[in-house]
Amino acid sequence: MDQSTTFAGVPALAWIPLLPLLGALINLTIGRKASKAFVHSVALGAVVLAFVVAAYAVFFPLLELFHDGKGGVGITQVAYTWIEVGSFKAQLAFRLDTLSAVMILIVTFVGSLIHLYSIGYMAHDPRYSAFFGYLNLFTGSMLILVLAANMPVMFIGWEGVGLCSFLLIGFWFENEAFASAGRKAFVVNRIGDFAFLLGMFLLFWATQKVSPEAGSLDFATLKSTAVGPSLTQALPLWGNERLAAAAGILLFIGACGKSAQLPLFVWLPDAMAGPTPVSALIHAATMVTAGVYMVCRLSFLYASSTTALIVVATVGLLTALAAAFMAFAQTDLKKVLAYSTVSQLGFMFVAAGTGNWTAAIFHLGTHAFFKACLFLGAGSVMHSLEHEGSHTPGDIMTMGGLRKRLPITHATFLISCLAIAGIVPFAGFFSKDEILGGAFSVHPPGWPELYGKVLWVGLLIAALGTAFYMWRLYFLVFAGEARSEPAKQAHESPATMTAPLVVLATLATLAGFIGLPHLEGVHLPAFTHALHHWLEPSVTAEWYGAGPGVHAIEGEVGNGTTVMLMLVALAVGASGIAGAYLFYGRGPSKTVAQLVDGPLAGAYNASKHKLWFDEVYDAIFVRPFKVLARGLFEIVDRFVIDTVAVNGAAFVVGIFGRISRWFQNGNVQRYLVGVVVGGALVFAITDCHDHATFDYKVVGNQVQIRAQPGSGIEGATATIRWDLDGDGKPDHDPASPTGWLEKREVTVTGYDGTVTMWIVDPISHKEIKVAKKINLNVAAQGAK
Amino acid sequence: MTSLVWNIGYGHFLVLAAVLFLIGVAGVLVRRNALIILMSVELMLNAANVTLIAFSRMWGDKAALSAHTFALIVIAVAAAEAAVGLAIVVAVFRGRHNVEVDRLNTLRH
Amino acid sequence: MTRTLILLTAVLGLVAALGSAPAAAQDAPDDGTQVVPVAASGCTAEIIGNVQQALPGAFHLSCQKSRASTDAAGRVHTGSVDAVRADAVVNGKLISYELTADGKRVIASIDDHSDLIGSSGKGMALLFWAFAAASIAGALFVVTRKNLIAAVMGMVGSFLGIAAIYMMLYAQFLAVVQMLVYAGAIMVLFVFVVMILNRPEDEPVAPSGRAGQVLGGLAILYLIGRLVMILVQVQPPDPAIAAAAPRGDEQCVAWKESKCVRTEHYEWGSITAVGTDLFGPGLFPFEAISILLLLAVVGAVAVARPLREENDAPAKVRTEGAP
Repeated sequence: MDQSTTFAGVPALAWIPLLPLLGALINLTIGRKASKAFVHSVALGAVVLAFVVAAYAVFFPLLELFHDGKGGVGITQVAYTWIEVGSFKAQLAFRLDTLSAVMILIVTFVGSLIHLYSIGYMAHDPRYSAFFGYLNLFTGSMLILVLAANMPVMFIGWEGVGLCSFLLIGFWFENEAFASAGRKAFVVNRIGDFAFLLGMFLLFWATQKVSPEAGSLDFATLKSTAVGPSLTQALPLWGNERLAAAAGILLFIGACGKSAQLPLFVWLPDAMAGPTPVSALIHAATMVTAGVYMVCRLSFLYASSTTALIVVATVGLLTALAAAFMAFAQTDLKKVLAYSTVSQLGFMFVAAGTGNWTAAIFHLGTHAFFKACLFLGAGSVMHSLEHEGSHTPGDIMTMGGLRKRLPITHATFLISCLAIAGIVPFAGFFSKDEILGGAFSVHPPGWPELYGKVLWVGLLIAALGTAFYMWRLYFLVFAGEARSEPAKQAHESPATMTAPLVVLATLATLAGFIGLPHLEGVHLPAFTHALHHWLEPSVTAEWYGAGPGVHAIEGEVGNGTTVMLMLVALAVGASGIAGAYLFYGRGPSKTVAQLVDGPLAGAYNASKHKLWFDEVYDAIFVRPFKVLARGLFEIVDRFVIDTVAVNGAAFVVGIFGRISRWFQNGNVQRYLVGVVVGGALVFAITDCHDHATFDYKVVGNQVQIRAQPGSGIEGATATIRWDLDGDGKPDHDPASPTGWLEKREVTVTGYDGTVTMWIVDPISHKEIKVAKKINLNVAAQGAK
Repeated sequence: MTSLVWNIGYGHFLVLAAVLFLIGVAGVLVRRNALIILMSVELMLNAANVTLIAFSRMWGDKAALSAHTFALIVIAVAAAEAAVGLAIVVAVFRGRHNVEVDRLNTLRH
Repeated sequence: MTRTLILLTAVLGLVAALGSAPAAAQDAPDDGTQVVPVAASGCTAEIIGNVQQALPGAFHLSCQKSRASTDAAGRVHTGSVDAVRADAVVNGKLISYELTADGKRVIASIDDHSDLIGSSGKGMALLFWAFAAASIAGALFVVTRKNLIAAVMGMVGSFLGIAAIYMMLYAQFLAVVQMLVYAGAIMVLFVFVVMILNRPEDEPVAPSGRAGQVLGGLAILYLIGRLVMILVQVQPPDPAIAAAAPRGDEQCVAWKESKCVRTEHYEWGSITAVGTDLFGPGLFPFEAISILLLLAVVGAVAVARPLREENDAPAKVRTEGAP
């Protein structure tokens, strides 16, 4: 496969997202009439087929390129030119390099498993075909996002997964609360999308500044110009900071929205209103990881700005801590998992923020496996409880003792809990350890070394918390004795549901071994470092623009430090588990209850109310916005548009009608009024008014001048005086009764100059003066 | 100004005719008795006649005397119209016992 | 009411008496400034000058080709000789003169009629104003009187005034017709109908439709004002009243061997002249108007007739006999 490989006219790479999209099209249009078997065959088949194509593309052509050293370049295929406006050109292009390869494999594989799971889980849902249609649509969008070769196409996928998230969270929209949750997810995502767009525009502008034709948002172009001077130009607003910081932070805000970081994470816990497969797919494995992927994809951008990286890492850390804190007091099974997702995403962003791109992706992958397994397991539990008639299937306080009733679910859940707590040899241990190691040894230029240590300590606390609350969850759900009737009666879920669980648990066990840390002197098989090497070409390994010289991001750590870090991480995880066992080993503990009522009351309250984020947002944003909306409705909609414009127009028409009706009421005398008034108007308006002037005719050496008083009734009786000798004063005429020359027609002989006529309007006594220069073509001398 | 009083020109006749005409219009507008209205219409016709004759006099023998014929025809037409109009008034009066035109509105919606 | 009429008649009689008395001779162009011979039709300044020399105080000049004219001695001047005509007041009489083509010499005097005009412009003016006032007063009566009979009488007075106006304009026949037909017949018809209605009172102004009345009234006042202003501001043309009657047409009344032996000319506006026009070019209107009158009579009778059951019932369908 190369740049031009097409299949049925469509570039081969484009088939990877296209297959699920076609499945969505089929299911959403004719699925309602089709049988359930048809629907899920189409859906599952599409995703599996996409996985096959992806696997082929990755392991054959791309692998070759990787061995040739061109893994970072990869294969780019263009479908067609999408936008071409001015100097901006965006093509619908797909890019398969090592980074996107990892992502597509995860998305399609986990996606297939979840599609399989949904067959059993949603078996009794009336909108079966819609569900699978949306799932396919989501998968297709996510694949577009991941395979995008430029930012606009990525944005298509970005928006698409946001839309599908909304559709799927609010899938059971008859419930008002669920529908609101979907809306909340969409709106919060939108805020992030806005920042994403701004970042995109900024990037485009930056590339344009380098050279006008080079303005583009292709990742390849962006990367090549990033090493150049443009991204390091100062942005006047920010003083000495770099453009990269601004763009990076804006894009990161978009990632916050999509990946549920502080402060835009509020939608994720509410999103548990959707069906559990949705939570597993979207909110564990794929959509929420889009932000992490984006940051890694633009690694060169973030590496250009220390500020951006520090922002990313700090926000990630804070999120990790806050989410862990909030998870302590939750009593809903899925909510605990949701907060743990947020927390783990914080881990991933810390990794990205310390330049440890591979660690971030590694954790992304392992997290996908064990979190999806956890969610699906939770779904299995809830499904069983519901089957037994529980009205609150998610309430962990009503569970307990399920390890005997749901063995497979229990086993897989146990494995995933071990993985998330970071216990060797499960996958979570290795990925988390890499993050911790990277954080410990990071040293951004210009920042004290302490920064990395602070990050490390914070992450450790978060990891401790993670282990604690996850195992609290485990013990309350599976250990002890059943605390309610449904729990006593629950039995295992069907094979379609447990099979994916097993697969995921297996992966959660084994996946860690492709990312072992380097140890000097220890020769480990090549595959243990496979991930690192694989991802290396696609991400950057250096700080850019950090001053003279180029610094590698990864610091050098010795063997001792590495092992010490591993042991510390392990110890933290184990103590978390131990603590949880201590308090919750036999079910809800009285000690905890006492602590909660007593000294820990404040903390417990804060945790239970999720640090009042929702309440604060409601007060600051939602309420004023509602007031504004109401105000606009009342003023603009009701008053301006309805009353003034629409009703007002009708009212004016009515008035005119009323006036017109006055004229036509059948009364002939009234009509005559119109005639007379019209006649008077005609008289009033027409007033022909030629201006007073005189014209003259040259006859021989005489000029015959005739006065034209102008039309208009006053002209006829006007008084006229002449000045015919150029002295500026009216002339005398002894023959005329008044002594002035007042004839209408006068004759001038031999005068060559200006003749002036004064005409006085007898009615208004206004004097009009007309002066004209008379040109005689006859010699003045000798003429009398 | 004295010239206007003592030197009667064609304008005087024309203005006289116009004034008569306008008084006729006023009568039609203001009165509600059908008979008065008819008389006002006769006034208007008369005014038109005066105008005709005045202009005819102005042309003198430069034009044929057809204006006088015209005026004669107008008088005849006015007579015919008065006859028929009065007959209608009588008929209306027979039914309604009054001839006020503002009460003749049963054909309105 | 009657008193007013008597008073009016007395005034008119007085004025007429005044008017026929010979008055100061210099009436016609009394205050000569306004009488400008310049605008006379077609006369050049030279001719005007000559005419003024030959005929001092001449006015109402017209220069045109003349028609055949009969001079005071009864001779007939035929042919197309360019002639100048002018009016002048001589010895208190208004006489029209004909002058040579260059205006230097008086050829003949035409129609020195001291007829119904009299010679005094002032008197005529007074008469005009009197009769005009009578017409307008009569019209106002019509419009403003509550009493129907008063209105009708006002109308009659108005028509009489108009008849006098016609007379001043030399429309003799029409003046008489006006009195006979309008004042005499049509108004009588109105009186009959007033009697039939037996309701001699009516509101002077209709109580409803005030807006229309005010609007129309304002418009009418404006128009009257405007028209009077036009009269005031337009240069009054030649004093029409004092001018001689227009000349009538020539008619050949006796032939001998297809040659015209004797011609007569009819007075302008006389019954002969109008009759000639009515039965000549106006024949079709004459016939048409007679049909119209017939229709009017029949229509009036048909409309005003009271309904009788048998005669006005809808026609029954004939069941026997051929259609």
